[in-house]
Amino acid sequence: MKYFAAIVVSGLLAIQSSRALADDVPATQPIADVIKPTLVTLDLDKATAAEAFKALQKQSNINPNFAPPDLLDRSDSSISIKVQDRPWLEVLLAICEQAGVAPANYGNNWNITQQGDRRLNARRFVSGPTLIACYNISTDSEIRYGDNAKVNRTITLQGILCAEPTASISGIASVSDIVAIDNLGRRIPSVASGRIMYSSGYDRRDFSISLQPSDDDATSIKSVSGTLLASMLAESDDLKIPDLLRQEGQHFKVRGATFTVNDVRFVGNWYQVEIEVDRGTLPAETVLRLRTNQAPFDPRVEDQQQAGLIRVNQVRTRDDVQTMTLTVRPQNVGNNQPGNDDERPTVNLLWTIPIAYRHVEIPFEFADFPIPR
Amino acid sequence: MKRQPAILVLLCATLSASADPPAAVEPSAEKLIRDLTAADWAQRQQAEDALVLIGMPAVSAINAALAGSTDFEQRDRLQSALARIGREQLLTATRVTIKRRFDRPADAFEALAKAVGVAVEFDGPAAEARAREQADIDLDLNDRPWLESLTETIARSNVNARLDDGRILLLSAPPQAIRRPTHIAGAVSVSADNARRRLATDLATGNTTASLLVRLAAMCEPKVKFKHTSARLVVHKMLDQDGGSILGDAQRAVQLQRESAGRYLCTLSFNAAHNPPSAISLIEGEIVGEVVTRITEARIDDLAALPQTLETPAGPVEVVSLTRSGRSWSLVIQFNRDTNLQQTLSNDLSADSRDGLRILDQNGQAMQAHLSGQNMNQASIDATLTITTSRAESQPASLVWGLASQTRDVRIPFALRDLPLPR
Repeated sequence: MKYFAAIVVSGLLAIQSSRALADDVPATQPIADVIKPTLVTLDLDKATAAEAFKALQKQSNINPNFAPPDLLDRSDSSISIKVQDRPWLEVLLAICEQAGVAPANYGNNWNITQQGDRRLNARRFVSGPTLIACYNISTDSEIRYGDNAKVNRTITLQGILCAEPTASISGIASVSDIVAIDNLGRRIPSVASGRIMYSSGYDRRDFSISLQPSDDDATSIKSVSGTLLASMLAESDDLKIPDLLRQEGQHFKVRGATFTVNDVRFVGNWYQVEIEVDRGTLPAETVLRLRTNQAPFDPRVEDQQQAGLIRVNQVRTRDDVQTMTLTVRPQNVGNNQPGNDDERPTVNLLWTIPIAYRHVEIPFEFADFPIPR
Repeated sequence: MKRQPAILVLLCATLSASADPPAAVEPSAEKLIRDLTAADWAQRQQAEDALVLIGMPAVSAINAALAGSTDFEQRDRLQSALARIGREQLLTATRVTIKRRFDRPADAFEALAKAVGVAVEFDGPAAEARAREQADIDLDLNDRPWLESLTETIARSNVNARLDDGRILLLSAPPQAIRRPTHIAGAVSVSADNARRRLATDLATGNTTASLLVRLAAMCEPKVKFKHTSARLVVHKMLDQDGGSILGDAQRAVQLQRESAGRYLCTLSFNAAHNPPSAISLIEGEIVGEVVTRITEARIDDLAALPQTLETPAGPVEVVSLTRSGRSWSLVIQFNRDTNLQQTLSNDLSADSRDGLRILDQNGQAMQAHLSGQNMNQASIDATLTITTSRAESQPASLVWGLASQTRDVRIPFALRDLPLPR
């Protein structure tokens, strides 16, 4: 069982990437405890990429996926890093940069690839277990045709929210309290802030901040600050099903709820696993929220060789019983895999069952955005 | 900004013919039907065209001839004439003549709605209060297309309205932009909504791109309903202020997205990095799509008693269960994989129209629903719909699935002129 301290923060955090703020903006200090990030201490000198990631995994107990699996073997980079008690995300990004690889995250799954998610290479703000990246700024000059036709100008910042695998964000998060200052020191009215649909299966973690300048003589935005509002996992239980693909008919219990593996079927080059949940004493809300397909509810597959991908595909509810269909796509499984018991790969299921969430507020700040002209 | 007068390009002949009494037309139609078997090809073709020009008054004679004809080409031409008459009738503007003074905006809209046989509703109490305020509205509409008359009524009453699922919905907010550059093409109008010049900087690479986006809207009389996702806007010509072509790499065919029933939107986008134009002098193109001419409805009126089978033209649907969680419900339905229901389900749910899947509450009001999950089995598909409501007393009572069982291909040409662009 895991308990995360989820505490509302009332001031700016100092935990930020070196690229988050420009040099001329003074760094800020934390004034209160925050949701605790996974802290890492490393002292590596000219290590190989594989050694560096292995050290990071050992410190954090977090296992990102590497694609292709021999990605690190292909790297001849030399990694030198010395950090003490720094957030996992910050260290991950630093190692990736030196190793010439890049991360991409899908909910709680972090993949390390050659290309990664290029949006994460833009302006980054790491705060505790979360990362906010601003990857695009645009200006729109618009004419609305009609009797009152006039030109309106809007500046839009697009960002993306990520979090450590251990710090699950639930459902809809948002940014608010936006304060934007232009290079002439004037405040730019904020007309909207985005709602973030935090979802693991789909790339919908984007948000946008719309600013409506009254003049067009500003050439850049000196700073944009705001607050991330989110609901984060505070308490959970783990469901472990070893060798999932050979467990048809078996029952597993978590907090009085019974998980039964009804059916395992090979379809194309993936497996379809049907699990029936009789929620028992598990809080109804918890089980019902499984259906939302969102990050905290995604189970993780632990393959002894390498992690595969898994997703909740379908949930049906009748009274207290839910039937879920999972798509399990172990790596290195061909299209013609017959799927009989002998040939099924070993896939261990580790499913974090959420029990309780807490509301958190995390301030962020970015500086010096050019206004496209 | 200059405004170009609307150009009605479709079917004036049909309109004038439709004013003739059927008795006077019938002998002529019968002669033309006989001419469809003439030895001369040109005479046969002219006879078919002439039948189409007569329009609806010729339909009964054509149907009678079809029942008795054994000549292959005559039957073919009769069927062709019927299809052409139907298409043109469908796309012909309903014309309105209202010369009256009204005391309240609501009365003016009701008179207009009566012309096309639709209802007027209010988008909440504030909208109703605004529409029932005392006002002096002088309508002078003389044989004007219905869509143009709607715009004119909005302008004269200063009450905003939109077409919504076969009704005129009066809104509380005042109209902002009424007289957009518009081309009324029969029962469909195409107008320019807005234009944007967008400069975007990728903060990862520092690269800046420039684009121009022009949003066009198509509004249809209630009789014209495009089948889901079938409507496209195809651009043939786009000229800048100097008459040079600015199509370049612009999209030439864009899908029309349904904003509400009767109103569709699309955005034309093109690169504007070099020498962006200051205006568009002409956009010429056409709307292409399938218009629904027949809808078959299947319904279940007691969702409290499940499971039940819904018999749709596309096959049976098992409505398995309905479970509640707070103000949302989960409805599980099951249907065979070999039907085409799965392809239309998402669209049908978002259709907000009679030709779609609707969940109604106990008062017959449509509830919000979306497809939240699908499970593919070997022979069947389980789909879970999540239904939500903001009204505490509201609960799902009926399921109505309207399926387009007959459609007609249409092409509607349009031209828009003189659109200024932002710098």
